[in-house]
Amino acid sequence: MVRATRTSGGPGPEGPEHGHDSFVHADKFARAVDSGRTGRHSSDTDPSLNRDLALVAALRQSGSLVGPNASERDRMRQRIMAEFPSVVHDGNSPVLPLRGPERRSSGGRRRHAAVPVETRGRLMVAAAAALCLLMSLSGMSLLLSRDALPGDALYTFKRSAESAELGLTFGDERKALKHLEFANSRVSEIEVLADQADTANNWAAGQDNFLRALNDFDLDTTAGTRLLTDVATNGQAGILGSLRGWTEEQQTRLKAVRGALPLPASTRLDSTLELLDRVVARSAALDRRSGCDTVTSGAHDDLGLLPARGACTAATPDAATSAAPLPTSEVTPETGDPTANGLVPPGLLAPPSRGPLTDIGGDGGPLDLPTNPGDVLPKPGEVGKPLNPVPGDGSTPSILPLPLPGVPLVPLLPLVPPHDE
Amino acid sequence: MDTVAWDLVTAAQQGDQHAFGQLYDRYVDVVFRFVLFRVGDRPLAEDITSETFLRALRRISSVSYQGRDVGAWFVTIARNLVLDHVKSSRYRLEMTTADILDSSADDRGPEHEVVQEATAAELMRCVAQLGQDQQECIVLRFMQGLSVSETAEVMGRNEGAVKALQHRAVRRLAQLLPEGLR
Repeated sequence: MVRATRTSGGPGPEGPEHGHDSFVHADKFARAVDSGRTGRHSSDTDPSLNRDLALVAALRQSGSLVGPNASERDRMRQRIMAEFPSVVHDGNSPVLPLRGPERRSSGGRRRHAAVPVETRGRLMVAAAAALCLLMSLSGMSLLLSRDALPGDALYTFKRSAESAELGLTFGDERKALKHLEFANSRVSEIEVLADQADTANNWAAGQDNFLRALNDFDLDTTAGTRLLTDVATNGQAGILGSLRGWTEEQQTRLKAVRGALPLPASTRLDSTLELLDRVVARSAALDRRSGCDTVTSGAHDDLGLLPARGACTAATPDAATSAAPLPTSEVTPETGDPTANGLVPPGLLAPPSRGPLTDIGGDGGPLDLPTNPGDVLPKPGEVGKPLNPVPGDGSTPSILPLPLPGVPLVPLLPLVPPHDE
Repeated sequence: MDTVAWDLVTAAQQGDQHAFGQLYDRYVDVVFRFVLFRVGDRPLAEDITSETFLRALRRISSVSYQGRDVGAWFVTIARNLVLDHVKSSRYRLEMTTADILDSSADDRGPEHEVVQEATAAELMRCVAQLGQDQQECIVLRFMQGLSVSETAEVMGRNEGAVKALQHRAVRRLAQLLPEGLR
């Protein structure tokens, strides 16, 4: 029997006992328990402690009454020992010498191999979630970076996306048009940067951003021109007029910005304008030679193939390269938007007017097209808008690619999309 | 520290079945008692105790002497198995004292046995009314006979916390006991 007496001395079981007092009593109790006192015949004057010690003795005695009986003990032993050989010797057991570097390295591999299935499952789920998060963040960043400007945190992401887009574009002509599309974006960025600098009246701050955009513009323009002149000299000379028109439009836009630029940036811009002059001259020269028997000299520079020199001998026409103009009936509004097939970037399908045109805007009469193809391109400041006019919107005439005198007809046909059924 | 136990562990790590048998003999009572106090069902306690030793066998190479007590290691494994069982079956930890006290005290006199068991049954009933931490501390510390440091290791607490916990648990138990047993 446990005989312990409740007393009113000292903190009772339910009484408040905090902080230092609690710690002292707990420590005293622990020491008394460890000393083996039972509290029954103790000379300690603390009756509360004696009662607690007597209770501990009773608990110990009760504990000793509980345990496996002989049959339970034997059953468990047999079960464990029966499995000992299979656990130890079938390779599932990690039984190894206790110490030594070999054990540590082997143990490491074993621990790795012994990752539970549920843990691996959780890791897979976590990896999939991380991948989804990464993809959604990438998509969001791509979306947000569309309007990024040089100097913005997301601008690098925008350029990377453009590089990826270029990498996924196949064919010289498509790649060329993509380069020019990116170059067009650089001019738009320069315009916005100039506008921001003008508003803030702080032109010195964004010098690096101007220079970066100009460098990128030069690279894309050069690459696009090189590819496009190559395409043009392989039977699609009509695209040279469009290239010239696009280039002159960029010149106009950049010249508008140049006047407001500070000196270092404006000097850099001059070299870009010189590059554009060379593109115009090159496309015009190749265009002029397009009807000749010899179009290029065989040599090339950064802008592609150089035009041939010397007298122009007219090329012998044949049935496959008839220069006859397209019948008017084939130029319909449905087929007249060459950008619909995604081949041509904004503003590139506006060759100089050299032949009869049909108004597809609605009044049926002949159109007075601008002699400068750039007139059909968007005006400076139309950032992010398509550079080609919207047919029938009344603001600009709808322009179709037309056969140029002396330019073979057949190679132009792929630019005309099929009818949408 | 019981170096003999660690010698047995080392031998078992090298594949000595007899050494592991000796470890079983040394600690089966402690493990079984702990499990039985926690689950209150002898067949279940037998299963969990067997599983405890099998799991210990599978992991024996990973255990190393770092001031650890071998008994505390076995009880920790048993404790985790009990917790897994509780989680998997929504098992409610209740002490059924009659089952627990269906004990091995076969060699005692009948009269003495009856008195002891009556006291023990009442104690068990009161222990079962304690909170989980206090209950576990009482079982490990007094009914199992683990030291403060071993109890702390099993419960994942420091020794000071275990000392305070055991003191509070005993006082609470005294409060719960009927007058005749105080």
